[in-house]
Amino acid sequence: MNIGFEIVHFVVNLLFFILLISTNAVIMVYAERKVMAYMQDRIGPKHYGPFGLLQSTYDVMKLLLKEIVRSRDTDNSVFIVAPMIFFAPVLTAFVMLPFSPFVTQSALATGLILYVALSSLDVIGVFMAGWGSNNKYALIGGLRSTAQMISYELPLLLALMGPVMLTSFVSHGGVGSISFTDITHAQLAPSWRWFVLLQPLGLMIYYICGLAETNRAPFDLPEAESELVAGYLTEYSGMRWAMFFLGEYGNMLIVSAVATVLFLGGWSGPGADLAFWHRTVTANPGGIFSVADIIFNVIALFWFLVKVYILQFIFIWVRSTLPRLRADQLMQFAWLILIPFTLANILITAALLLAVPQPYTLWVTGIVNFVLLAFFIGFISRAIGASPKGELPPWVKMRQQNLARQAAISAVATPRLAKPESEPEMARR
Amino acid sequence: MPGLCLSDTIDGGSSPHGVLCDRIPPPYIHCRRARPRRAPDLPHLAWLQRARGFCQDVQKGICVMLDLPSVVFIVFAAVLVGSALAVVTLRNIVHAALFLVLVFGAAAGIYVLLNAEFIAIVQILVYAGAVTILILFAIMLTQNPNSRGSNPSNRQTLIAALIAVALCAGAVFAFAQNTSITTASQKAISGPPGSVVGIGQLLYSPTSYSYVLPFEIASVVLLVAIVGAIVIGRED
Repeated sequence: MNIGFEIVHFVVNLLFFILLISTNAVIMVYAERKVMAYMQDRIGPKHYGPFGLLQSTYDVMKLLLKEIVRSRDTDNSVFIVAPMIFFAPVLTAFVMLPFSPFVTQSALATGLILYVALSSLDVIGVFMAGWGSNNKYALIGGLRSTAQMISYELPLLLALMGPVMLTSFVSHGGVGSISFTDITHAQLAPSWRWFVLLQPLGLMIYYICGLAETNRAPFDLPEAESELVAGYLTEYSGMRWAMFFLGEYGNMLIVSAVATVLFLGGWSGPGADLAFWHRTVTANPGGIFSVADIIFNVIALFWFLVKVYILQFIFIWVRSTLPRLRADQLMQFAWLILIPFTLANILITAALLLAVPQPYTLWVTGIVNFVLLAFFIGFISRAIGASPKGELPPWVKMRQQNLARQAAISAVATPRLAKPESEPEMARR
Repeated sequence: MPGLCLSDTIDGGSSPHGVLCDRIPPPYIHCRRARPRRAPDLPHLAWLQRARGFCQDVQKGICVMLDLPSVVFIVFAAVLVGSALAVVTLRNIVHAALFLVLVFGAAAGIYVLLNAEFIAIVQILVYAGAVTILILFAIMLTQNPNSRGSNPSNRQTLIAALIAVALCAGAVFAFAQNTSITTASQKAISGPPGSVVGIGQLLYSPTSYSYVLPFEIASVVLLVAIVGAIVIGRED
């Protein structure tokens, strides 16, 4: 491995990561406003640039120029350092994410654990912001966020165990891996086996926990506007505030990227797979550069980003769909539903991988997991509806309400249809 | 610490420490009472002899060869000791707890330098991510960040210092005496000791020599703690 290649590799990756984090935030702010607007039957930003595309750019300029306000009694050092502590783990987590064979800074053997460790460090930044602000709303927001992040870290880690167990089954020699690169390669078999087909429940639970870890709706209690002003962000302004938002959008990106790597086959996709299997040399960072390599890497990067942005779109979709949870519901959901389900998932997957004979193992594992997923969805829809036994599920009730409303509307509208007959009465008045 | 050699150990491999030293090509010689000087581009053993002669020139001053790992180690160690001191001396409990995060982070950095990548990450995950958060959480609920009022300074500084020095001396003595502690368990596993596979085999392997029983006992102890917490925390 020559030093020149290493330097080029490092510089390209560093630029890519930094530019990706910052542009991703701008794109996501715009996408969030626009997508949510369309979902709520509004138009959204439209004045600056075509389709309002420059809106976020102007917002960034505003944030850069804004005065940084600090109230008098803050814990100064904690208050100032908090945004940086929040943002640093986000930037660090990009080290081991394999965006494409070339855009992978380090094929770290312990990537998965490092990701979990870094996401647990984020809590410190939130805590410091809540504490340093000397503001009761900020403090309550920080407290809530800390409790929430600690609780949801557990099912998050447990949900990630499914793919790890699958790598030990799929790879030769029966030795699993927690390296993101190895997990991607395990899914690149000529037979199409992304782990979402074998662990859909794992993906579902991981995604839910990702929503909670990034403090996104419906788990955005730490910054609940209607109760806490802006939670731990209350006292922040200008670029410090923007740093938190960069971190939050970076976290969304990381959660989506990790879900992509572990469940959706990483950078595999039409074009990238074939190239990988026909010319395995190119998957080696440190190999020789050629035009074909660059094209291959671009295709791989394209598929990775497509998957990541689909997952990020779902973040927005969930936000505009679901109402915010209550604090006790939030805790119950983690401890009473998610953790038992993830533990059951681990036990069942392990038992199936050991017990079912060879050619059918993956088929049986996948089918059982899909059944578990259906059970999980049925369970949470009942739990969220909180309906007693025997009562109709919420969607049936909604349908009945809709039918009743339709009937009422048509009942009101019928006399109007018979307008010509009643016209003389109107005239008489 | 390989790469950090005192002058009398630079002898081209005759002493046990020298073996470690001459594997690392040090770019700089740094001597007390002398300027750092760029190392001459000589074959390695010859360079070591030259370095020794150079040090003898400086009237038996301590000659330390600095390579990148040693520099990183010194930085991490300085951060670790400094923030550990801050933890015990700061009056504001929240600041002390936040410096504790820094202590654990610097310790993780030193683990990385020792090629124990997994332990480093677990250090961050468990200590920086979970233990300190728990401490901070508890502090946040107490509403009294200032330890000046809650626990005023006592007069046991001297005893504390004595105990600390004794403990430190004991640890240094133990490690200086016995280097076979760490190597004994390494022989039992197949992979490199710091790797995930190696640690997994060391902890769980049913066939080779492993720490299954201590591991299980530790988890039972934790279970007892959890059950105890639930029993105490129950309202009825």
